[in-house]
Amino acid sequence: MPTLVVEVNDLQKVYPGGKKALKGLSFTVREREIYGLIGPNGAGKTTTLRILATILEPTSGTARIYGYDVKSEPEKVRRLIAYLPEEAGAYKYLTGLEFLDFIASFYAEDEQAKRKMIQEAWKISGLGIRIKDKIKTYSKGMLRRLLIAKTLMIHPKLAILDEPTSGLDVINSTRIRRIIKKYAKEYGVTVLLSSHNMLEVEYLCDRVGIIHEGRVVAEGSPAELKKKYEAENLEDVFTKIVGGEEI
Amino acid sequence: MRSAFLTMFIKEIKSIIRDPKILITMIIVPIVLTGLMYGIMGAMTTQAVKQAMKPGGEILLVDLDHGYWAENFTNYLASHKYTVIKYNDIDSAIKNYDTALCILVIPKGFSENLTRGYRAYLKIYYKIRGISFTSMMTGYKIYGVIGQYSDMISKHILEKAGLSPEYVSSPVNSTSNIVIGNTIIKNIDPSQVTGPLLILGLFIPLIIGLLAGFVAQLSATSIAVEKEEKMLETLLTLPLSRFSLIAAKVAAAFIVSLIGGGAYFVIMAWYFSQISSLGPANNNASSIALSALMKAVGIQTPILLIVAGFGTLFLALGIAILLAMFVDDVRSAQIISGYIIAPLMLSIFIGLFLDITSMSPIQQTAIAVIPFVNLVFILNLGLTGNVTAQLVVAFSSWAYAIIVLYVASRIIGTEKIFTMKLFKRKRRTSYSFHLLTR
Ligand SMILES: Nc1ncnc2c1ncn2[C@@H]1O[C@H](COP(=O)(O)OP(=O)(O)OP(=O)(O)O)[C@@H](O)[C@H]1O
Ligand SMILES: [Mg+2]
Repeated sequence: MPTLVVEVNDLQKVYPGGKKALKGLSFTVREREIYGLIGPNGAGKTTTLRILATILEPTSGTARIYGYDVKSEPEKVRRLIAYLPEEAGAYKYLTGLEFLDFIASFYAEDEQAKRKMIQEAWKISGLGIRIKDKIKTYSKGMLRRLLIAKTLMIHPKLAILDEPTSGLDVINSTRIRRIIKKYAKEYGVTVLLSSHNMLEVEYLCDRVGIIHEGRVVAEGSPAELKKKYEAENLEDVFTKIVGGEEI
Repeated sequence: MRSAFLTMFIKEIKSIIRDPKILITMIIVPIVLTGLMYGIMGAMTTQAVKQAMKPGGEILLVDLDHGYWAENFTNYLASHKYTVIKYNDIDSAIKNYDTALCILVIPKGFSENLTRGYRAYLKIYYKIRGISFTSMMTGYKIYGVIGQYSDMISKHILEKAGLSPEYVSSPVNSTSNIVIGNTIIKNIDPSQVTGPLLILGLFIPLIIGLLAGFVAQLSATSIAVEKEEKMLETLLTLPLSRFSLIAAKVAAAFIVSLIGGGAYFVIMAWYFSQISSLGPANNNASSIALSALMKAVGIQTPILLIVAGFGTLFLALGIAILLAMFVDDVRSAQIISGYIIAPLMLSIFIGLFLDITSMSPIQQTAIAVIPFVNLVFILNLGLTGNVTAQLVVAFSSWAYAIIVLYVASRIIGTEKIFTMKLFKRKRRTSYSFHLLTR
């Protein structure tokens, strides 16, 4: 049996306002897998990823990463993961390079390791000489590339990416997808991502979990899902499960 | 490997220095403004006082007496560097009165009165030009000259009559001695003791209040900056304990505030030294006064003042951190820290008007638990010898600080640091974001 990187079991989350975001969610992610969470707006994708990233605490149920419980051993979990939030930013008054240096300092054992990380991130980001400019001068696509680079440069055991290409144009999106695919394989990183783009999910993901109203309602590889729901593509699968109104 | 705390700390210092939001609005502008204000005030006062002390200037003289003493007085003025311009009547003098110090009229009978042993009068016409400090000070110059002249004449008369001028001018005089606690300082002006008293009772509490305000505002802002820059989520997933995260921010705020506070201190000290250099200096007497004061209030007073000061500093800080967690952006953080600083400053001033020395020791001890204000009480408690109440001040301010910081650290350790919100603005933006991605 392959090692389980992520193990989510009957996870429930009630927000302080009383909103039930997760209602018994379960799924697992295996080592070196790219796993995609898809689901309509408000389904609970971000909530799930935030719990795994140790930002939020589960109301009940368990979430483990490499066997460490996110609630009771968050410090251990944080050493294994790298998280890219849905609406992430970076310090505008630092340069790209300084920002990478800042993040790398938390992980690198020594100066040399840090330099290597930054070097790799520079390459991943494809920012060229702009890496030496202040982040406030970056476009949305450049910022996202910088953030993907900071996530992957530390060679995390698990990369958690919340809608990595949201709000980007086709060129930048494609670029980011290629980066994820290439470096996940090269560095042996397990990836858990969420997305609204079915093309992206088909291109990237080994397995997909469809979330609806706080529960996983279907799971499998894109091919399996298409076969099971007799659909031409993932979008059809999604519509069949979640139910969209016919126009 | 560099510690996570240090990495965070360096980033904080860097961002405080680089981010114009923080640097300009919170450090440079206030320092430059106060510097400028004190500078101008200091320069103006010095200038005005010097001008007023310096003899000389133009005097329009209308001599209606034409006698010996009128002549004598005119010569006296001239020999004291005054330029005397003579006019025949008051009307023409007034017509030509422009920049001169004043119009001086020597009425008819001036000399005769003096010769016959009666009091003689001079009439002064003085023009109000505006409310400038300098013009008001220079106006008084003429009275000084007349006084000196008058003294000279009386001395002369008395010596001729074989009497001691000192004896006649003030046959009864006084010397002052001061009692502080059990110490008596002989022959000292009370104003020389009020200096050190003010430093202990007002200056130090004010500086602590200023520092507390600075630290609170910087810490609150730096937490809000993380939310505004959308970095909080990322930070919370780094291998960095929540405690180190906040500690790094607080440490950076402390250091920057100390530097800022130091700058204020230098400006104020420079201002006061400029002002006080105008008066007569008596270092020996003030050092005697200071040591007597120390003996009277007890050596524990300054020590407890510093201890309580730091407690108050941490209390303000804890409150600021707590509030900052509810806030989404820098602007609201600064508004909210204003809510702390304003009452803090106000209570220090209220404390100054509250005379606790007339209260019973029990009342004093009870009032000593009121945070912030109690800083101002320490000195007076020392003067009344209520060491218990002084200890209560020091302990209570630390107790409050520890409670608030403990509550803050409990919140920091949970998801509340992320989910607590005062203003629900963010929800609406994420709603529109949802629409866009649909
Ligand atoms: N801080 C919060 N407080 C209260 N309710 C929240 C909070 N964050 C999210 N929710 C609610 O929880 C539910 C799940 O939200 P979540 O952000 O996890 O959805 P999502 O699947 O990521 O959606 P999207 O695709 O739009 O990003 C939604 O109904 C949302 O309104
Ligand atoms: Mg989301």
